[in-house]
Amino acid sequence: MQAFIEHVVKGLVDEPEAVAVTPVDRNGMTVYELRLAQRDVGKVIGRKGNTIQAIRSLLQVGASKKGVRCTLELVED
Amino acid sequence: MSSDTKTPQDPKATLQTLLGHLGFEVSVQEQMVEEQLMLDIQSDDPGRLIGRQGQTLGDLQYLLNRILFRGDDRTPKVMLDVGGYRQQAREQLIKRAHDAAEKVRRFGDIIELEPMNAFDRRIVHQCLKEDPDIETHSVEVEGSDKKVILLRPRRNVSNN
Repeated sequence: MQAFIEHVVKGLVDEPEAVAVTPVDRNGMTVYELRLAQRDVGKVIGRKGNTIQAIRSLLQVGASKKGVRCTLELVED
Repeated sequence: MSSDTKTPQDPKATLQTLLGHLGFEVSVQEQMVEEQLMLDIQSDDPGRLIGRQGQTLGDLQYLLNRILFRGDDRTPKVMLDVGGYRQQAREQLIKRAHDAAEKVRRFGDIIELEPMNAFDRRIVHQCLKEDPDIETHSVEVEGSDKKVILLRPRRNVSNN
């Protein structure tokens, strides 16, 4: 699932080298923390959150297909 | 993994990579539909890929186009289908549009179709744009990205 997130996000941003996805275990669920260049944040969120919503929805489809539980969080340090 | 986002990407290969990451075994057929590239996905698990009312398919199509557009902003939009699902939905929609147009023609009423997304609205507008008796308009629906389409008798028909 990490590969999916990285592939999609890197495909959307101007600075793919700044994209970092860190899996964190939280109560048996994998939380993927996503960090990226400040100027790319808007591109990944999208208008009215459309883009990140689509990424999360596909993540859920893949997770249930594989029988795992995970979520995606955008982290702004 | 290549992350050179400036290189134009092959739609079919990009789609297959995405779906592979999500755990789907698929084969993809390329077709041209009304001068648009249509990728039809054959999968062992079509229901999951389509999602409720085509929601998952819509999300996938949206993301794929965002990625392709990012690579090359002259990229034409790509449509996705799973095992002919969208094609079937499209034919039903066109039929409903023609039925509604027929009612407008016969009774002169204004008919409103249910709220639809931009892709579906485009299908309706396109299939009725040559109709000499009907004009179509999209009208916003509050609290939604969708709009309804109004069909009404065409006004200012050239004076005969």
